[in-house]
Amino acid sequence: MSSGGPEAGLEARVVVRRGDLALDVSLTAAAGETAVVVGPNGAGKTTVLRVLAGLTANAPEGHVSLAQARLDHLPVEHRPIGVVFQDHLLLPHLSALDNVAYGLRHRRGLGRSAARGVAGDWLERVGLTGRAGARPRQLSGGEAQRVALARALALEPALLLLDEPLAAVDAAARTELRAELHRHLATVAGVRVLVTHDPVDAASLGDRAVVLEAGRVVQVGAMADLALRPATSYVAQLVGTNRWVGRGDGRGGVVVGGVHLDVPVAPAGPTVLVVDPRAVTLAHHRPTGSARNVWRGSIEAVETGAGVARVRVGGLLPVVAEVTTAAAAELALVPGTDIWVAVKAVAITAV
Amino acid sequence: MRLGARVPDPDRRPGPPWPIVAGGAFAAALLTLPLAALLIEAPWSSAVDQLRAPAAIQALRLSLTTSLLAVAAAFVLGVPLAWVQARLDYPGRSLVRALTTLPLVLPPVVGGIALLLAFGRRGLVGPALGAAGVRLPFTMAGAVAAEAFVALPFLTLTVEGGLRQVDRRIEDAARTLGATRWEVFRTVTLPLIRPSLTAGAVLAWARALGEFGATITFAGNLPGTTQTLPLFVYVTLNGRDPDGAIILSLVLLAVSVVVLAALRDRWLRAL
Repeated sequence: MSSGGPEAGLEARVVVRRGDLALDVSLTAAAGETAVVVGPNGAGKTTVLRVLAGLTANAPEGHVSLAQARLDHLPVEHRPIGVVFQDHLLLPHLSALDNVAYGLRHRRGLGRSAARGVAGDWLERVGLTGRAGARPRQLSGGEAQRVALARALALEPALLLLDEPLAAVDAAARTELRAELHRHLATVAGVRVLVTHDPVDAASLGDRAVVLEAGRVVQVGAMADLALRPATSYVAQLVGTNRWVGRGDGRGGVVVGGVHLDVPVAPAGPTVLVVDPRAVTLAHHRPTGSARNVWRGSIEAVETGAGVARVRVGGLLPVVAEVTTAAAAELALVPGTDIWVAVKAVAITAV
Repeated sequence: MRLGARVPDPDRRPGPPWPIVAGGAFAAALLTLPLAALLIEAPWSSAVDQLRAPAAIQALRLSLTTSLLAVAAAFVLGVPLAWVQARLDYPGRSLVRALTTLPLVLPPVVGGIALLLAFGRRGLVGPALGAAGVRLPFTMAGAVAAEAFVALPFLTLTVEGGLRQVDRRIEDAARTLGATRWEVFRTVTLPLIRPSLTAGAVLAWARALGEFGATITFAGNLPGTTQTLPLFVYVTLNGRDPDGAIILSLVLLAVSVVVLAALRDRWLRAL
């Protein structure tokens, strides 16, 4: 296998027009890098992956190149790929071992016993040594997904494609499997393209995110960059940031949804504002401190995570605030109650 | 069990309408009566001798051979046809389905005449076949052809149904693992539709074994060559040995019962 770098990378334009889907996505990823294609349902993520694999036809103006070689005219079975499907799609009539051995026999041309030997090693690597003889329907969701991963990795693919690899796994097993997946991905020398709608998967598994909405790329970048400058409200929601579109008055203020906000830099005209949810404070009484941006809203939802509560406040200017669970308990945040929202001017970034 | 304390069930339906129940019972009795008569009236004491009669054994052996060959032919022809019908979207697919299903409802005699007009000595392609040294009418191969003709739709429809049930994404997955379309068909699709293949073959075999009209019309009634079990039963019933006909009918009945039992999960539960 060739060493990493852009020259061994993926360079593709995927164009599919079908029914209500009009997909036109350009995608690049270096070898040794995991590009995460993220987007809402129906954005065309799975179709992008199917075109890269050769399972769905690319339009004539589209192309797929890997390590500077065109894949377009290669049939699926001859592409140097490994695919992990959303609901694993193991061959139901074969044991876990033979599912892994199947690709080794057909793609790599190994004999039955040699293929089974290598397959056994891969099952061991994903921690399933004792389950080699089990049929897919006897496996748990997490086990089946591990077999699917081993089956793809065993081919040592130059292009590894993963379609929502954690979606079919129950929440309890997902965290553990995500960590394992991260470890395995790091060992793949080729290009990794992972499709997900889950921001946690995107942030934890991806080096770079390509955000798709309605068949188009709306933003490309590291998840941290996306959080700083979300291009659309979907991206903001994805990365958990507040993103407002308002109009600058040229005198240090921006009007958003009927609320006048003081902003450090004072643009004029249409302005996008980004606020980290941790910079938003909540109070039952009107704050009197240095925060000049204060308005009143109504609590819509409270999600409690590890030590942190995310509070969604509706009203004139919908906002997400992140407070410690201790603070949330102290404030007795209950959906339906009215609350004061305050944001310091310095915490608002105009992009 | 709560006896005595009968709580009125709010969902309880009113009593069934007795004319319908009576009609259903009468129909069931009417359908069962001939089968019961066959069992009751059978000359059980001479059964073994009847089955050992050389003519009976000859007909049994011929029926077994021709029906199995007919199933093999139906398999070779029917599986590709089922695949084309299930997987390809082409203009005229409904027409092809109608034509290939027709033998299911066509009077078998008409099927036999049609076969004669196609493959007979003076038929449409008969002379060409004759020149190639193949003669179907009034040969065992003709009996096989007649049986395959009427049995084919059973296999094709069953296998087509099975093919439609297969999750095609599993076949996609196999292709990403390096298998060509043909390898996928062989190593994934065929194993996945094995229950349909079995059911289709058993149904086709049962139909081929009982085939009468098309066989006698196209292949004739030559003992040892084309006189299959149903033909033999018919001839002996009207001739010298009605007892032998009854015993051999029982054999065919037993086969039918076994086939029905074997396929009960597949065919009866869905009804």
